Amino acid sequence: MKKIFILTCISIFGVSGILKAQFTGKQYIGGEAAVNFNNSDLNNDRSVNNYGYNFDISLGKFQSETRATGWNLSTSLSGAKNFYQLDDTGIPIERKGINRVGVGVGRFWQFYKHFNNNVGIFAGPGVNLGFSASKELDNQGGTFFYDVKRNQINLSLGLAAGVYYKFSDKWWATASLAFANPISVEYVFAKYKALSNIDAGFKRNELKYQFNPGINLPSVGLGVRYFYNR
Amino acid sequence: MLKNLLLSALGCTLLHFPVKAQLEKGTKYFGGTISFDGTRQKSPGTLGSKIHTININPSLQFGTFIKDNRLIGIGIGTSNSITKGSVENPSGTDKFTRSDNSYYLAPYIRHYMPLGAKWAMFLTSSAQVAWLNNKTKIGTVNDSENGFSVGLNIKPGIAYWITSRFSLESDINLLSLNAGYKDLADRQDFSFSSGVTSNFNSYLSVRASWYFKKQ
Repeated sequence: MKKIFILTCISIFGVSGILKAQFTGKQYIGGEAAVNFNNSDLNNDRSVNNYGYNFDISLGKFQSETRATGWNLSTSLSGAKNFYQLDDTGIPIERKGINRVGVGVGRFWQFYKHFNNNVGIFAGPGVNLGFSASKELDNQGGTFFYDVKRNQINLSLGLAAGVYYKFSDKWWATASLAFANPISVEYVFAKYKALSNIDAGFKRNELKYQFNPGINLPSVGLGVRYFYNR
Repeated sequence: MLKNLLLSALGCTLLHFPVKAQLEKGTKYFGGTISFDGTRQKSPGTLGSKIHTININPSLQFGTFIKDNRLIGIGIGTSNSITKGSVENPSGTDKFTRSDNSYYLAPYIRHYMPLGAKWAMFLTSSAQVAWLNNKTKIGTVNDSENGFSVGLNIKPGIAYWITSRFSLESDINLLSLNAGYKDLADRQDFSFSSGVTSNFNSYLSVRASWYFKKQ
């Protein structure tokens, strides 16, 4: 009898005591970064490469023990070096440099399940507004190449899930597990300019929309968080 | 009395999940999902063009549990892709329409393996018969071709119950087995694939499902 009583006490007060962590009101700044670089040497003394980075900063605040909201800011950049066969002279032309930059701002809501003092998972919805500018060569499936400049505005509603590990009260490590972008709308302004003088350029506007209840899995991105109001 | 009370309190602290899946014999099953995407493209100018594309994929599944954890049912669905365009020429405007449609019927058998009260894994084996129809219209010229395809596939999935009657489910394309035959306008395709080779990053399409227990 006494044993059961103690056991019950431990399981009710003990467990909830551990989980009564003091998250409410805490604010954090988090960062997540990804970089990539590829280089291939082709057998004709030409090397091609591509590179890029994504960097996200988020500012969040725990509204309760299990709920946090915040804002995030993302930037990305990518570039490449490649060769294109633009005409029938047989000499490929080299193109290199930055071909895409992007910025975005978003609002997120996260719901947490704390497994113990150090580990937990979180998931929740978010809204993102992004802008990107890109430049590329496109032949439209034909023989004429166009220099294409695209400006793109994107609004999406998504879900994201992740896991955290608490190193200390101030420092957390986070990893994303999965994400979904079920609803997205995108508007693209594109300008096509012919490389040869034979074909003139043109403009193109595009509206893209999508509803897709799917999950991208796994999507691993690593980040850190720093809690500053303590 | 107090002992019972304490024991039940202990039980409550251990059982955090009040949701219980209903996979008993006689339970009726209904599931459905839809996805769509589209593009509206416009190039202004004297040689301008307008192209609208829309892809839409609804699917429904019905079934009955013939044994505990064993579901037999039928899936129906369509996949439609429609492109409409007009291109300005010096001589006038060229208009075209193209639609690729497939309508399928897929009887299936599914085995569930409950993992706790909220989660379950399942393995679906299904046979699929589809009727294919492609239509094109360029100017005033109509063209149409019909065909069919048959296939067999086995794939696993996971289910998560939000309430005892409602769950979200997803097929996992990672470990699937497919065999198919397609016959469309003088062209025959035979395909076989085991999903172990499929792209690990491929997304999991989520289906909303309801379980109605027999009264």
